[in-house]
Amino acid sequence: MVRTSAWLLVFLIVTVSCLDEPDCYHLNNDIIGISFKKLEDSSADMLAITAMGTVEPPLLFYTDTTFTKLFLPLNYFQDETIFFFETADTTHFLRLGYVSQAQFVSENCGEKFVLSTMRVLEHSFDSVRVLTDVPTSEAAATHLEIFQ
Amino acid sequence: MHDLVAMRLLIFFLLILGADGAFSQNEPDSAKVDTVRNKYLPTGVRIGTDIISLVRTRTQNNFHGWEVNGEIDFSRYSLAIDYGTWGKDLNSDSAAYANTGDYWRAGIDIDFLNNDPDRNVFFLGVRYGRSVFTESMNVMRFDPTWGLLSDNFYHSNVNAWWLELTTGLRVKIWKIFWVGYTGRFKFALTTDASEEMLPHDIPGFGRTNKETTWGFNYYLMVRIPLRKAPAPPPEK
Repeated sequence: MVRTSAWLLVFLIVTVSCLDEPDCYHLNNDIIGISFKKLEDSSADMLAITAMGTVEPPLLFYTDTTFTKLFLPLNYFQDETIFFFETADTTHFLRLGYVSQAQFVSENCGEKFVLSTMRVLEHSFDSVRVLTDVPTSEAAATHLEIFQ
Repeated sequence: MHDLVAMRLLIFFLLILGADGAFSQNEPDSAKVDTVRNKYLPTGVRIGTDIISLVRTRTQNNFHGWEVNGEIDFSRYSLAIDYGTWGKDLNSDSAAYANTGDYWRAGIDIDFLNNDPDRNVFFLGVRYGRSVFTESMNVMRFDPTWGLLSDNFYHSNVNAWWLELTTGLRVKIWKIFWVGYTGRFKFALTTDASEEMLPHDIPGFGRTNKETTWGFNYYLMVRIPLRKAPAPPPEK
């Protein structure tokens, strides 16, 4: 009885240890969602931009479009990303800081970057509110509300 | 959540210990035969090494390690101490990872084959594990948004602590030679990871991608008897 139980236990441990391969799909949590709101009543606001992107490296994400909400990637090889929002009247800046930690995942998946403690370092909008400070791996949640 | 699971497992184990003690009290003759002094003097020492680590070192290019194990047998209870080292070199298309470090574990086992004439052991136990290691990772990847990225990460003297629930067998094969295995359920891992890098693999613990993990060691051992074991309680 004891011997049978012992062998069953070994079989169980070996089986469970073989089911240990991680999923390789979109490992980095580097996506943030931004909602634009009206300062006076917190209702959804539409931002019309002529250009939108990052300052360093100089990248252009959008041109001549409007949005009430958008999802942006953070540069996980840096500890901050500066976005610019160019409108017909002015150019707004949003500088976000965060902790980015590298981690090896597996020989199949390679590495991933775990981002946390996101905060607003600087901005030129009327007000910015952080709803949650952990970026996500998919374009789903709202992390920031920008009031203007 | 993590701590809650660890606490429940510890309580579960302590309940087993308590039940074991309660059953022992129901054996009226055993208290007369086994004095406290007899029960808690060591009857033998087992010293062994983990065969799996040695085989992996010989057969796998990306692993090197060894582990020695010592157990002091106090009749039904054993004090177990493990010491080992391991290192891994892992490569993916975009990253090269390496770690190396030492670890030790200490804990107590309870034997559930107490009256076996060969002193074979089937045990449940707990361990506290500790590791100090160094790890590094070189990354070079192309990101569709940010372009070509490369960086080197290095983290030395990383500390890790964890707990284990263990079970296993020790079987006498010939004279002083024994074999045995230990299955380990490892949980409650704590590390002092750096701001730049999170550990991937901790010597003695394993991969960190889940909050709990399993381990398995197969030992070749020698047992040095120190004194004659107390006589088992007479059968009715």
